[in-house]
Amino acid sequence: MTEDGTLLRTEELKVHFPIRGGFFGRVLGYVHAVDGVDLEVKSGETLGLVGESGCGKTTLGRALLRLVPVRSGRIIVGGRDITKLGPRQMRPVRREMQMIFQDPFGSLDPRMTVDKIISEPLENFPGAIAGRDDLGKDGDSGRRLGRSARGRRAIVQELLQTVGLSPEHINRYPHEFSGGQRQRIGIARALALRPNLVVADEPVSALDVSIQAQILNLMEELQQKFQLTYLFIAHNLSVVRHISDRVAVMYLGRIVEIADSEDLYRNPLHPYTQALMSAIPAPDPKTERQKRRIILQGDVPSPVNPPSGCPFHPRCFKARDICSQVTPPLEAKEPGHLAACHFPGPP
Amino acid sequence: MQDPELMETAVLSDQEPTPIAPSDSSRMLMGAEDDQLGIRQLSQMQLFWIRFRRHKVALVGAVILAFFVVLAIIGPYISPETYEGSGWNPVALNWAPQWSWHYLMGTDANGHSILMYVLLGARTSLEVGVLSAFVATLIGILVGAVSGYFGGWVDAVWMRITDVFLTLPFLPLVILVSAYLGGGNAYIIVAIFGFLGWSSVARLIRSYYLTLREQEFVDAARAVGVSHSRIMFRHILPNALSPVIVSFTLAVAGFIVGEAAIDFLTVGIRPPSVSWGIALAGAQNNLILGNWWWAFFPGVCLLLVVLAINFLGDGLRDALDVRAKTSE
Repeated sequence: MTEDGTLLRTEELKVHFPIRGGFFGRVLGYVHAVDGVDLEVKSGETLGLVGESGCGKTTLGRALLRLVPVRSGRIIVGGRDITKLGPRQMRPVRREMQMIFQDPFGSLDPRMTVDKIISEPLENFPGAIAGRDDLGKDGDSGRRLGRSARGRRAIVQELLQTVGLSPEHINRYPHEFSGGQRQRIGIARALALRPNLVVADEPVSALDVSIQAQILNLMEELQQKFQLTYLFIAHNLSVVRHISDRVAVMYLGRIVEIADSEDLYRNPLHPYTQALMSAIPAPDPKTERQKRRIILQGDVPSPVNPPSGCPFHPRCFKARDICSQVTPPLEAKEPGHLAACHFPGPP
Repeated sequence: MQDPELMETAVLSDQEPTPIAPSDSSRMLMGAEDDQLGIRQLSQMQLFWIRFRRHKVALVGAVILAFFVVLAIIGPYISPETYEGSGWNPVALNWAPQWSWHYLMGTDANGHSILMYVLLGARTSLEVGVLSAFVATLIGILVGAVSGYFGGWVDAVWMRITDVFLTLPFLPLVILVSAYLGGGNAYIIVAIFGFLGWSSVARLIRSYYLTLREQEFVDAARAVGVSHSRIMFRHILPNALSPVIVSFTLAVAGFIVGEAAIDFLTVGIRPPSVSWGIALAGAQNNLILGNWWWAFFPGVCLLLVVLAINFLGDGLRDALDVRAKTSE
């Protein structure tokens, strides 16, 4: 962490996936999945990241953990540039950053028991629980606990209890659990190393609505208990509003607006955000009927050939000539409210 | 819960009440998603057995194979003679001149008991088949895992090498290498088969790795700092084990036939080692003279073993590998 409380920062981060074809796998072009993202995550906050399917939010989350190759730009964690670290140098950083995955079925190895799944991070980092002498019985230190299978088992059982599962589930396989329970296992695995930052990639979008609320409540509880920082990726605007302190809106590989949660929902400055907000149904039928909806024209452009200038200009109801020529920078339009638009303001 | 009948089902369905006190909101709500209504989940092994049992032919195959495995183990102890142990015999080339263990299946031109060929040949066949398949599968897993997992130029290089091995004319090459190395020894045959026969396994394993490495659990493992080799062999390999088992089984049958073929061409195992292929090679000129037993018994054994393994392989594939079944 740096002095101003920034836990993670990206500078002009770009992730481009090559499209190969032809005889020798020539690179025919690039999918501009993440195309120049500047983002700051402050310690202890929950930063929501919203955007429609295919806008690059998942790729951004994975790039932050160095799970996909970065083409250019920088990722700075706690003041340290991790963009070019090798696997060995990445190891200590991995301890600090963990991920909760979208698909509770695909993210757990079907051939491993819950015990193996959750204790794997502990096996990799026996020192990760060195500070946890609260677990030690008979003078065992946390480090020694992490080294012994028996000690790890005790920690796994405690973690299961923390995420609301029974410690008796320890010897079961993932297929024996429901979706919500599996997501709890995934959360337990992410918490095993006591990370600072957790990237949650649509952690509830695959779950039933009733279970979504349980998992969200659990995540909030855990955030307080372990002082976690969340980067919460989602496409459900209500979920993001509920859990986030600040919200970033992504469109076609770029951040188009960031603001405090309430500020963004009450006073969106970017036309794209305004269109998104107008699509949220209001619970009161009277207001719902009076609401003006902004219907966007056309489809999201292909990330292989993003439009020139502002990526949103082909669909924007405010677009003028300058929008197709100059890319608007993401800058503060109001205090603490950043937007990337030449003509910010109410529609 | 007032209805006594409901009470009873509830007691029956819940093996043990969860000991945790529902102290916070998330635990309280857990009951709603906890879908264990006393329906006991079948383990992977039980499911496998249920599907395998339905495959009657595979069961028959398993029984026949088990019989030959027993023969291979006890063969040398119940064999009437060894190859060296008998010289020229007055009852050569004869069909059961007297009812005895030694002459049960007749004799060859040198007076060797055909039963001896059958009993000792079972061990040779299965040994060569299983060991060759083991070596080939092992190399295939290594090559397939590395190229499928890493992709890119590693994949390109290894797959071109695999293509070369796939296009090599198997039998002529085996004859050539066997002649060069001197042949005669079962382990030399195993080495030749293993090093020439891994390419199809490698391709199969690679295709599974290409799919599995995109799964989120692989990303999850990388996120907690698991090494590449551990991901390859501890996380992905167990998920690709079904096709490995099936292709291993079918490879055993293929290599048994291959071994018999090169013995028949007299470039494989040589006497005093004994195999079914040697018996068949010796019988080829005598069959036309009416000495059918010389070729018949070893031939039937070869046929039965290979058929049994192939049936077993089919049954295993249907029981283990859902993908192969749906594509048929």
